[in-house]
Amino acid sequence: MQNSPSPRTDSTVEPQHPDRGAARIYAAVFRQTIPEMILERFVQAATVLDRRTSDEERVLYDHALKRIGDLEALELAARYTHRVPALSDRFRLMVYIVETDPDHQHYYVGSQTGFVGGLLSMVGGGFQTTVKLIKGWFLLKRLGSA
Amino acid sequence: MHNVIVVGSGAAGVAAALELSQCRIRPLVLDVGEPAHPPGDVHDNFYDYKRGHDTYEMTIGRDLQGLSNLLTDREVPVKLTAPYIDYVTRNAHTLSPIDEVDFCAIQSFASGGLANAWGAGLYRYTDHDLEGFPIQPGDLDPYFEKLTEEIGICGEADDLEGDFSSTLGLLPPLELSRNITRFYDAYRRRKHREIRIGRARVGALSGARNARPAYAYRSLDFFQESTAVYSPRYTLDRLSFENRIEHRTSLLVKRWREHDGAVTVEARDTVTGEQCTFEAKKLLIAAGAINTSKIVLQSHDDYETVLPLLENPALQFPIVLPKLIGSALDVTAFGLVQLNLVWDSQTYGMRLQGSIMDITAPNRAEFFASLPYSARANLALIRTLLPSMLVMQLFFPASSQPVTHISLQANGHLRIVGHPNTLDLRKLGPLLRYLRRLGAWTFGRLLVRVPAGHSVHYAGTLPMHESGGRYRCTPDGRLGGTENVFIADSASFSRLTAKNMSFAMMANAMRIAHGVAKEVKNR
Ligand SMILES: Cc1cc2nc3c(=O)[nH]c(=O)nc-3n(C[C@H](O)[C@H](O)[C@H](O)COP(=O)(O)OP(=O)(O)OC[C@H]3O[C@@H](n4cnc5c(N)ncnc54)[C@H](O)[C@@H]3O)c2cc1C
Repeated sequence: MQNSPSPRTDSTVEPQHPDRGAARIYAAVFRQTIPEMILERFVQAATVLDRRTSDEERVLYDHALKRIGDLEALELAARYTHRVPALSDRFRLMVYIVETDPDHQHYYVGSQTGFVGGLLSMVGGGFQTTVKLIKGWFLLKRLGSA
Repeated sequence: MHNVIVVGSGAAGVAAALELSQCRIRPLVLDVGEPAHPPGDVHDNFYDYKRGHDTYEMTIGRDLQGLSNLLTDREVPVKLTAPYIDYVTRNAHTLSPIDEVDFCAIQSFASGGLANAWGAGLYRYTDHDLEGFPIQPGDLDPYFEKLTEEIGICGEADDLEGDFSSTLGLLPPLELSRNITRFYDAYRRRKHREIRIGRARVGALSGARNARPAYAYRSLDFFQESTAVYSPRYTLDRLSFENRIEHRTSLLVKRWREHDGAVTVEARDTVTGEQCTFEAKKLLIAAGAINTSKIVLQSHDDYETVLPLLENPALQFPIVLPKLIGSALDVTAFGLVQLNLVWDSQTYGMRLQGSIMDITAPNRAEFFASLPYSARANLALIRTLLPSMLVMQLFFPASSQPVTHISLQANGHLRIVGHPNTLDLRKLGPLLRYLRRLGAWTFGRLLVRVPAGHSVHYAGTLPMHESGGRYRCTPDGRLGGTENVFIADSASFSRLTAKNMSFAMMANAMRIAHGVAKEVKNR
């Protein structure tokens, strides 16, 4: 199948703790314990991602899981600076997989909040993002020097 | 010996077979013919369905097809990643490997071809589009009319009538979504000298017709086939069922040989690996512009010639309607093109065509990575901002970028050398300013240059020319240097304007098939 995922690079480094990554990323986005089904699906897809992740990126990703508390902040800064794509890809993956679960639909489709409600939510999100971005930059530096 | 062989059952091949059958010739249609999946069984609105059902198999799939843009290096248009539609591109790169440079070629070996996944925006070519072709719009008109009847196309007389031509036989338009209605109302209050907007001409049914249902507004456009949206496969199946064509699948055509006023076609059975031959008085090739060129080059054993390949460069950008921020998602929006925009752009010095769509149909997660906030805040944006958004795809004529080249290599692979999309975004200024006047905002950072190859409008490898010539066609579609070989798909286009070309390609295929039928009968 043309679109079926296939590995980009062979690597000698074994992928580490895909389920640990899953739990951390899920918690960073949804602030809960990851449901079993989502964990399984994430691990299956992350295994494919792992195969196309370079050794260097994987090491950075593993360091991030081990050493960084606020993965959401780190991912944001990493996304803006195009560093640790392995982390941003796994956040994306999680968001795709979780959308297939009926119990998580309210994260993706909201009810009407009205213009003011919507605007406040966006301004609040902007503020939260700024704070996370500043924090993320420090975390990225810490990761770089680790 | 067969009277006529048609290679390919995509939009062009089916249109040619339809015309032949109407001329009382029963063609043999040869095709690889990857079969479609059985129809889906979701009858609710997809957003309601998602609240009660796990949609992993529908949206991601057991083979992770839905994640292929994330999990592989080869990015394809999002719609092609949906599990229900994976057959459209299945095995494409095994059956016809392509070495690509700065180009992403999308090929199909399915019954019905790429059109199983298309947006079904179907537009008549006019004088403007046929400039440089050795044919006139009048030559295509009778076939546009037949096709309009066969397909069922919605649309109406509006500001784009001059660009899209006659409204004869059109079905009433589909309902506009909330966001598009607001945008269109704003346009009608404040028109622009250079920019015209109107209803899209879409091959989707606004009312039930010939055993096909009316479009049901269930937001399933990306995840389940609806026969309300036309695919040439439906005509193919009907013609086959009525025994008006002979359709043979699992055959990969390699080459032809002409001899004694006939053509022998050589093919490989893709299941058994056996070689087979078929003989006919006439051969019509409609394997899609890329594979048609391959068959032609293979038949000439030509590993040197480099042919041009035309494609529409494109830009894509989201449009925010700020007044709708915080509103609920319009879950009944038609998921394909609702409006078109035609811009006689002074800044670019050419006519551009835009497709304006709602963004309800794709997965919400599809937008996550392009939003600028932190992960949790991006999810909030998905809930509050996305319901106020539209998306515009702006197509440019092929001439706006350097020509892409296609050739056959000694190892049997095609080689396509394209160019990175370098469309000048600064020249969009007048359009973006006008959109703002309509209360529709977009931001420079969000403009995306669509990768070369992704418009999937391929043409012009064997262009029609008044006097024909080597690797050219005569106006009747005959390939230069041959007696009985005709090119029926967009490979024979002399030029490619910004208008989506498939409808004109289908009409032209019928025109060529009509001429071929006449020749067969006169022999
Ligand atoms: C997501 C998407 C949206 C689109 N939207 C639009 C739109 O709104 N409007 C528009 O005008 N166009 C649109 N297009 C483009 C449109 O789908 C194509 O232009 C059109 O379908 C091409 O038809 P074709 O018959 O030339 O070739 P194809 O569809 O490529 O069909 C080729 C046929 O030939 C067969 N074949 C190929 N090689 C061989 C061989 N060697 N031996 C035997 N058989 C062979 C294949 O099996 C297939 O049946 C869209 C495309 C995509 C992917």
